[in-house]
Amino acid sequence: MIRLFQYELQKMRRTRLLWLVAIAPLFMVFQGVQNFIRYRQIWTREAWEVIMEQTFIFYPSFLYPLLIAVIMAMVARVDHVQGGWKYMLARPVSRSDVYIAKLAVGILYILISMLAFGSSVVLGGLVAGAGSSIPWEEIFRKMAGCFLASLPVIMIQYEISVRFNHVGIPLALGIIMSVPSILVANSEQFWLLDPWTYPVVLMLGSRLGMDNGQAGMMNIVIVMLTLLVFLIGIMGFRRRDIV
Amino acid sequence: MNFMRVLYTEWLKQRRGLLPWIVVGGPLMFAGMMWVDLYLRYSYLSGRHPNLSSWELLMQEGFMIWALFYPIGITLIAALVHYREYTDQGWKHLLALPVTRLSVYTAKWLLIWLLSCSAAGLLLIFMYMTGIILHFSEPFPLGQYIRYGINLCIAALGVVSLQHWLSSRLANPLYGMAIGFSGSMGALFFAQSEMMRFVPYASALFTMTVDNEDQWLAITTGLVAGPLLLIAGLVEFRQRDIH
Repeated sequence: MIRLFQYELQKMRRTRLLWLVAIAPLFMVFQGVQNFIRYRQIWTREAWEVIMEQTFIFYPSFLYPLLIAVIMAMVARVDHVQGGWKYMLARPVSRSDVYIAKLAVGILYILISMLAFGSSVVLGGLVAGAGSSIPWEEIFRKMAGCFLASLPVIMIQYEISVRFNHVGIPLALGIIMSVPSILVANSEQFWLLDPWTYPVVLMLGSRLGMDNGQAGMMNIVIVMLTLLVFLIGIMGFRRRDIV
Repeated sequence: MNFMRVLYTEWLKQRRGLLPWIVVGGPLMFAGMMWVDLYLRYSYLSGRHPNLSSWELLMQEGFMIWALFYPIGITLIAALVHYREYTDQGWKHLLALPVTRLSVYTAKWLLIWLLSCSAAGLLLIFMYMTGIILHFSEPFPLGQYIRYGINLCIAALGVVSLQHWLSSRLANPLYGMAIGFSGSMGALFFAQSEMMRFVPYASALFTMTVDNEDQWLAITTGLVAGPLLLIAGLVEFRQRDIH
């Protein structure tokens, strides 16, 4: 299993995806910090709070789901081209282990991207002169919340990417679902029906109302949906004919 | 004549694929979203912008999200138009036919642009339908909406040329898409900078025709960057070795 994970990592190393997932979040940070500096005179709240608000604003609804879609599509594409699945599954490896190892590599890339985003927010704040009282805990809590809340989306994107060998399908899904998420997240009830809004709600949580009942419901949906998609995916992968 | 046939062939390749779904589905979903948004928040929004008519409100409320996702949609269209050539050595088969590289490259370019324009046209139609369903009392400002559509088509030129070349150059469609996504994410950031606002990905942000003095930015960028990048890409494409 660990060796499979290492193989998958090696396959991904040549794709230069790492550069992309590390650099793309910088745009969001640039833009947020730029907003902070430009309107410095009118912000009355604490500097770090504004920095976080301005840099986070488009991340969970826009960049993050698209990054998930691209990363998962890439993880699966490595084997969709040139008959990769056939070569790999002809070896004495368990299909479940392959499925899990690839998923783990995808998640690792997502975490690296989040780390790059989080640290560039801190760096951006320091450069913009927001002071040295960095709210580590809050940044960490928001990022962790964003990640956990996105688990269903990660599973769905991964499964779709593995199942269809056309790369356009998972990406179209990712784009289509991320378009309405910021608007749906603003509604009082509907957002619970759309897992793509969960990271938005958690990350920008202070500005969007959520009562305890809804939070509990969301947690249940996250756990159930993540497990369900994962199980359907792995069972299907074990049984499917590879052509 | 030859060119028209190449163009028609390109369309035939895509007709049964994912592409028509995206061109129709994107604007349709967007309009549906605007319908929900205005249905729920009309009184709040009209209170915030008392001097705008309902139709102007619809455009004003939606243009930003559309402007962010329009270049992403074009990126996807460009990637899908080229996707086929990279599977089963399509380039070799295509260029072995008695067609010039000039006509192949420009036919693909034109197809991407026409599809982008179709998406913009459908957007106007679906927005009109949204207004009718919501029973807007004012008459439909046809001229204003058509100018918005024309602006969008012109703003698309730069992105189309850029993504067309990237997708033709990079065998892995995910690279072209990843660059396009990152550029589109950066649009808000580009748009705020004096120099960077001429980056094609930001153009769509200047297309709105409600109280917007920056429309010339979209038009200038589209009309300059579009042809320039098309010619530059063409020069490179004609000299390229096809492996």
